[in-house]
Amino acid sequence: MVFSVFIGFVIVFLLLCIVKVCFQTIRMVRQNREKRLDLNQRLLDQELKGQVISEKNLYLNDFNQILFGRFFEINKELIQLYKMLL
Amino acid sequence: MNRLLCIVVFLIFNFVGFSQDANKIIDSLKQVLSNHPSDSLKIKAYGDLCWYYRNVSIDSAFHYGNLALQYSKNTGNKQGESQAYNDLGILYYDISNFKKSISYYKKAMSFRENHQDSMGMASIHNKLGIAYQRIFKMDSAIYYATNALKIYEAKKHTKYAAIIKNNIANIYQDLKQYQKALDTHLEVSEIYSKLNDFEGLTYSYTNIGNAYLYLGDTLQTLNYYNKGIEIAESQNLLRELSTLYNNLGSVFKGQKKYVEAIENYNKSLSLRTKLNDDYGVSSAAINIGSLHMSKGEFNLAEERLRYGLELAKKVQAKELEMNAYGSFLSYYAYKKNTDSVIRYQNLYNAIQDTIFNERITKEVLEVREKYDAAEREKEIQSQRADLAIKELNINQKNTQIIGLVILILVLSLLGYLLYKQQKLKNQQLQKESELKEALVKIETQNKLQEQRLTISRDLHDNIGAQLTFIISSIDNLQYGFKITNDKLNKKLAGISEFTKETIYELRDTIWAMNKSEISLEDLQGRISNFIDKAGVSSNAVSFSFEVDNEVPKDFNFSSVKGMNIYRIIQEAINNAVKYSQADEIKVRIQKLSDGLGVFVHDNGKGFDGDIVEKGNGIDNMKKRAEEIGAHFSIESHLGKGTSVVLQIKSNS
Repeated sequence: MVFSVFIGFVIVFLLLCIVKVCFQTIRMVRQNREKRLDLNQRLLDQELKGQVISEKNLYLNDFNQILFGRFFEINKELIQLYKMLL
Repeated sequence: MNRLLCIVVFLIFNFVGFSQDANKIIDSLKQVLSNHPSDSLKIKAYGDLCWYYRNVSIDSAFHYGNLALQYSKNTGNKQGESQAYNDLGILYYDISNFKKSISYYKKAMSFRENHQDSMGMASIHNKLGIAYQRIFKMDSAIYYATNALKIYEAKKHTKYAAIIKNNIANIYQDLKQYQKALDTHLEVSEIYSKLNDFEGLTYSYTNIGNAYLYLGDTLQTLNYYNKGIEIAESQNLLRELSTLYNNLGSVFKGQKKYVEAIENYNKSLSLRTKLNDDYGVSSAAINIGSLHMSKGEFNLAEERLRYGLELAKKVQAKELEMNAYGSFLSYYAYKKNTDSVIRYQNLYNAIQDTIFNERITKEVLEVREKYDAAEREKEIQSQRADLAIKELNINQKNTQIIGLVILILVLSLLGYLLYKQQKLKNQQLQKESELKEALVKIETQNKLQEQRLTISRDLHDNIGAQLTFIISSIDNLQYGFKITNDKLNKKLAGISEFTKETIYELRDTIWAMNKSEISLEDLQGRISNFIDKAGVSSNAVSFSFEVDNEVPKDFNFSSVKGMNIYRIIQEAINNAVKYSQADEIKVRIQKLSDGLGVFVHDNGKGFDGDIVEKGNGIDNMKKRAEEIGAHFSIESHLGKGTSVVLQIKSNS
């Protein structure tokens, strides 16, 4: 009888543990999902930012090349001017 | 089946009377056997001989009964075997060997059960009930009697059901449950009444009267005896009538109504004399004798007593002999005949001892039977208690086992859930770390790109500074040294102008790079400034710039996209100013179904696209349009001007 009662208590305790584990799992999944959503969002933001920076970089590099070309032209003119002055 | 009925009736009503016919039948059966009949006929003949010898010679009955059983076993005749067991069971009952009788009845029952012979089984059940009653196993007696009753009731054999009920009533009477016995007898009487079975009804009334007598209600006793007498007289049932008169006499004797008692005893006596019932006659005569004694009619008493004693000795009825001797004692005592008194005293004592011994033996047997029955009952109860305890233990163990199994299942479930939880946690941590890794990677890349951008900007700014220095140096040259050489002046002005243009472009680029987004308003402002400067430098051309009202004010572009759009418009206007010889250049921004449209139209000379070689400017515009995912087209007809169209999709 005592043994049966003891077993009964143990079973009830274990069932409560199962319930606790279930709730813990649900909470963990929820928290993790929020974290991942946040990380995904940050990732997206960073990707967007990276994209913008890359675009700017490309453009700037392009333009710098044009500017260098122009600068080179100006240098040429200056050299001609210098020759004219001489 | 008819023979079974006869057995039942004989057992219940103790009916004798066919002994003379029996001898004739026995002879004819022996005749049959001498003719070498078939096996089945032989078995039947043996069985019949057993039956008919029953009231003639019990030993012969056993002999033929055993022959029938043996022959049936040898020939495999199960029916014959069952019948033989039944007949032998009856014989053992007759010699009061009730246990053997029961055992043989049970052997006969198995065949009848297998063949679903319900009537046969009912008969066996009834006989078993009677036999168990004789060994005081009343619960078994009632059990079997009830089984027989159920079968007869199911088969609607009302009469046989009444007989069984009568037996059950007798069992209740033996158990001294007189009220139950009375109730059952009353039920039986109703059945006989419905069946108009007067003989049965008479017996029933007799039994009811007896039951009331046990219950002490003599009025009802007399009532029912009188009812029985009425029917017996009308139906000429002499035996039943004699019994009723005798019983009535006993009741009156008990009430000390001697006249009525003697009258009824005399009636019983005369009927029993007619029926040759010596025992009954002896009983009645002795009763009458003792009644005469009570009334002081000693001569009459002596005559009756002698007659009764003679018959009692003839039928070996020891109790009746004892009663007679007892009455004679009183008679000779009255007569003061001492010798006779002593003689009859001795006779009385002797027979009393005999009866007493017989009675003691019988009672001892009965007590022993009762004791054995009680012991068996006790043992059964004890076994039942043991079984109940064992069952309880088994139940407890079962409960414990079930509890342990549930515990193991729950533990397994818990373990599994914990494992899954841990696994899920690991997976999620892994995904999280992957995401974090990707984030770190992309952040690192972005930092790298930002660093590159910073370097590019520094370079860009550096160029700007140098260009500014060049302009200021040239201005200083121009204003500081008063140069008169036109060619030189033109050269210097050209260089200064070129450098300024470069700086303007630089500033535009800086403006775009510094903004993360360029609104339509910003772009509008920038284009307006450019158009104003272009107007100043090309005062023969009129410029107009319109933005449709439908274009949303909050339209935004990324910095690169905005820059590219500006550059395309800039290049288109520059081309129009340089090559079209137009006097009107219109710039319009309008809303399209899928985005925005930028139109730069001049009313210049136009060009033939197939002939004229397109320069780098148009290619640059196309390239810029492709970079921002917009559609670029240029339409020109000779003499009709040129239109440059840029279609910017809203999701590009």
